[in-house]
Amino acid sequence: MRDRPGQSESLLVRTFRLLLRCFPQDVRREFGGEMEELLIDLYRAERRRRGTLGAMWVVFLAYAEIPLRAGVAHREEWRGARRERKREGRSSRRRLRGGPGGIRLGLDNLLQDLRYAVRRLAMSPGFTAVAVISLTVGIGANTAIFSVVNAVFIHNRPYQDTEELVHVYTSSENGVRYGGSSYPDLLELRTLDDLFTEVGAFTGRLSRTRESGEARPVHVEGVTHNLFSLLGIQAAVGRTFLPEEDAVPGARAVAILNWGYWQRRYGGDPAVLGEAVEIAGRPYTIVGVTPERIESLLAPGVRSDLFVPMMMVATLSGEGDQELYADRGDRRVKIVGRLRDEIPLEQARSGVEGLSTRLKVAYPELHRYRSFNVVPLEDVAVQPDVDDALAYIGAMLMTTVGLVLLLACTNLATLLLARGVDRRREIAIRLALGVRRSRLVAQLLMETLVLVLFGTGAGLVLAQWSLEILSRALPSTYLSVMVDYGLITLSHGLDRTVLLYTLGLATLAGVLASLVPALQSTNPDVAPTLKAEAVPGSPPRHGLQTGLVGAQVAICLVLLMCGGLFLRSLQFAGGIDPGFETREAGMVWVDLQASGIPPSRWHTVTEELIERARSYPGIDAIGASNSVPLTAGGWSAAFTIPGVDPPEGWSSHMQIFNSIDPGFFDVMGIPLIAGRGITSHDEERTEHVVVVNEAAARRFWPDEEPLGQKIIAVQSGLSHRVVGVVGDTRLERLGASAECLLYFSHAQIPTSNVRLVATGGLTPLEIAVALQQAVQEVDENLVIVAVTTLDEQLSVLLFPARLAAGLLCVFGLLALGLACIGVYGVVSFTVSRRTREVVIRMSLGAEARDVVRMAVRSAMGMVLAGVAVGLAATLVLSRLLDRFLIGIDPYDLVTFTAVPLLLCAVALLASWVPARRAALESPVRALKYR
Amino acid sequence: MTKAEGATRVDDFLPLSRVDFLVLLVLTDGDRHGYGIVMEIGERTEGRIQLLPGNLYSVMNRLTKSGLVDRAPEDPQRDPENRRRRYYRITPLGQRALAAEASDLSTLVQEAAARDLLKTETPV
Repeated sequence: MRDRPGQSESLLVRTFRLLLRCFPQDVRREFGGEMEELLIDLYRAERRRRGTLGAMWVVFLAYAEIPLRAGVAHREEWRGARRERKREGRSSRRRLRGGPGGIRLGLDNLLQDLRYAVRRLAMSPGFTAVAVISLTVGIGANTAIFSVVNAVFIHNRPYQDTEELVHVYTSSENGVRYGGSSYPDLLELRTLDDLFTEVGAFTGRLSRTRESGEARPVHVEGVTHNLFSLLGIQAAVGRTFLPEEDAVPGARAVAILNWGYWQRRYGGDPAVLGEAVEIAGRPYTIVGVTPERIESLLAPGVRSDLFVPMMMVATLSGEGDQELYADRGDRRVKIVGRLRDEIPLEQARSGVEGLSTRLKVAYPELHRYRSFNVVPLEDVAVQPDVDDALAYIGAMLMTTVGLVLLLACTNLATLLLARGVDRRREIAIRLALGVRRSRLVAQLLMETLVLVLFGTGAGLVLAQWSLEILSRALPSTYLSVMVDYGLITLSHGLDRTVLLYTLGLATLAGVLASLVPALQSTNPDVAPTLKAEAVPGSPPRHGLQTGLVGAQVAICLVLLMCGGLFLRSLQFAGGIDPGFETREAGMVWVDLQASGIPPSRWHTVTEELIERARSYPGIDAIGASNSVPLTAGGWSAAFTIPGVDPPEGWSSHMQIFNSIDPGFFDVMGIPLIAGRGITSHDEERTEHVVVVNEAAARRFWPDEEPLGQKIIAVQSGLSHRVVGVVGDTRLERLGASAECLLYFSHAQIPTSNVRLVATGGLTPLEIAVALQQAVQEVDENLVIVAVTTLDEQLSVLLFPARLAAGLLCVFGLLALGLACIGVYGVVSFTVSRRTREVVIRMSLGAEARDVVRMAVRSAMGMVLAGVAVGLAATLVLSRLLDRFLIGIDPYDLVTFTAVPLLLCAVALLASWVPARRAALESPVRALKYR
Repeated sequence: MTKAEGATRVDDFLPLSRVDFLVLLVLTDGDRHGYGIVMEIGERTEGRIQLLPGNLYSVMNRLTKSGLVDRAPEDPQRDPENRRRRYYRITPLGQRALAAEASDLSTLVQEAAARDLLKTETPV
């Protein structure tokens, strides 16, 4: 685990170093290092003594005094220089105006303002803390989310002349528009040399290597030799692939390391060139290292460890891939081309369309429904099919954190307004004495500037931390296995784009929060203010403040309602029957193909694994399948069903299927409805059978007996007889209706992905570990993708809803707190402004109750207005959330009633407390105090 | 040209500011690094004065330029765990200035004592 305090310290030092630039160069050179050391020593000492908060306060003060001390140092230096000049008899005649004198006056003013601002902030630590925390949360949340969005969408690809680069996708018979292509497709596209200067391809594989004697999964990317030059990527160390290394299948075992992998495994040692790295049991000679910024060619967020020539890919996973270079049906290759200079996109598209037509004629069976799609590389973030969904999620997250920042700004503005009101008298006196308004505004702006500075610094720290926490919070199944092995990176960290964005954000926050309050509080009518505002019955001037509190209430309501919708989703999800009984099961996921096991042995090895695991004490029941219910992503294949037409435009039924062993239904607790399950007699040579779920039975044979019907696999041409019907299970989404599912015998249709599921007398995690040991005992080279429990599978599905509910509720509650402070402040302020009126009313016979009612009524007016605006905004937003909600309506009545009521109740309390306190105060004391 | 080279009259440095006085006082007990100075001043003033990096090194900059304080020669044996730490020591001029300031203060304190001011318990 990384040392977090160490990281935060290094961030402290980096920000501090930036501030030290305020000092004259010689002071910085002489004492800069020592100042950094001292800051860290003080931070550590204070953290031991008073905890992190105390330490952060000291750091805050230490940062705040730097500009002051630096200003003094500059002045001393300037005075020293002036004394020198005088001594040399060259006294300067330039005085206050113009020349260094003018600058000095400006600098002095600035320093004075800064000193004054810091002193005032230090004098009210409560205000300072609330303001800095609001800004920290606002800026931190925005920076964190933006850095993720930046990594996926904006992250500049370090390729050459990106505008000439295009992806070539292949559409398929089942409606997928942007699918992969085959290796023969690549060769066909290369013949179009009037359109493309070059066409290259890549494909990813999970494979294994050996590190300190242990088998470890690695992500290997097979690339054509020309791909690096096509994209304009030079090797950082060594070279890229040569044409002869990519000419004959399996002939030249050479590899290029990813920069990150090179750093992690070899410590960035350049002497690694020429050494061998073992991939899938074969030594590969290392010929180069990619530049730092190239993580993978597949997609942003995916990190490949090693690159090998395309011609080596087939050897990575044993026999299963041997047909890769000839099979037009194997479509796991991604194609990239560089258009010729003069070729516009439209011409390229029609040229490629011509090729599609020729292929349809030449290979009618395979290419009837296929055509090529050319998409500019710059238009693709991850993959055209998922880009929209990702952009949608990104926009939602950005909107949420945008609201949080807006809330932080309104909160800060309210606080500053209240402070401005406190200081009206002081400001009025200074204005009356002839101080220029611009000087006063500058002073007030300086206060905000200091606050924003600290909010931004702390926000950056918060962003870094929350990104780390987020990547740790991912459910520990497939995805986090990938994260653990470093295959997926969540963020590219806080790079320059993110820092620029944060800087812009901070400026915006500062301007938004400070300008209006500063202008307003320096524009009092001097006369009434000096006369202690002694105008009976004059309406209180706090419209802006009221408006801001109303806005806070509205924002708070939106966040809480959206959070509430997700909470209700989770509540609903907890009550859904997933269709299987077992929850206390351990699971291990093995990839046989990546382990180098040939397809002919997939079933034998699976049986061996089951037998070995069964012998473990504490494991009572065990089953195997290529996927289990509630795992995102299943396996599908094309089937034809006699008498049942495929959907419009499709040549066959694309159906999700499972290959299971006889124990699977028992271990999962999936009920048998009719016929029989898969048995040990369903072997390769016996009649091929299939068990369908109820949803499939209903859809394919609504009026007939399903048992005895036939299902034919398109690829193998084998016919399978339906021998049983089992209960439905939820496959991917808890709230979705059950999908059709076919279960085959693993002996008859073996798959390379094997998930072993077991139950017994141990805890699910212990069972999972026992399964892992069993797998390693059978063959230590087997690639284990995940060791997990069935419950964790569930948590993967619920993760987005949990994350959204968590984020929105935390931000929403924070907003509620801020809005309450706002309401409380405005009511206290209103009441104190109307003390004279209150006293007169009470002496004329009004009761405390009437006074409270009056104050609360005026406060609730703005709260209700805020609630109305918030409700309207949520009505619009909740429609966009629909696709993420499980089992509830986007206009869920419970949420739409409970949250506004809760908010009003809290606001009522926040306004009642100060009103009551004011009403109970003795009139004489109140007037005297005034 | 620094003050130390140009003038050696102790009076030029008086009166010393409170922080300058405390730093010089701490250094009379022996060489100290920045953190040591901050800690000791904190202890002597019972936490009323806490020096932060910007303040301490502005003071050290001024005191070294005035010749009241000097850098102690490097000694690897002294702080083997942290060799980046630099030590400061008081110069003879610094000692004279400190003594002169202390004597001035003592005269003032006696004046105050003569007027019974030291008996009050008003916090400073």
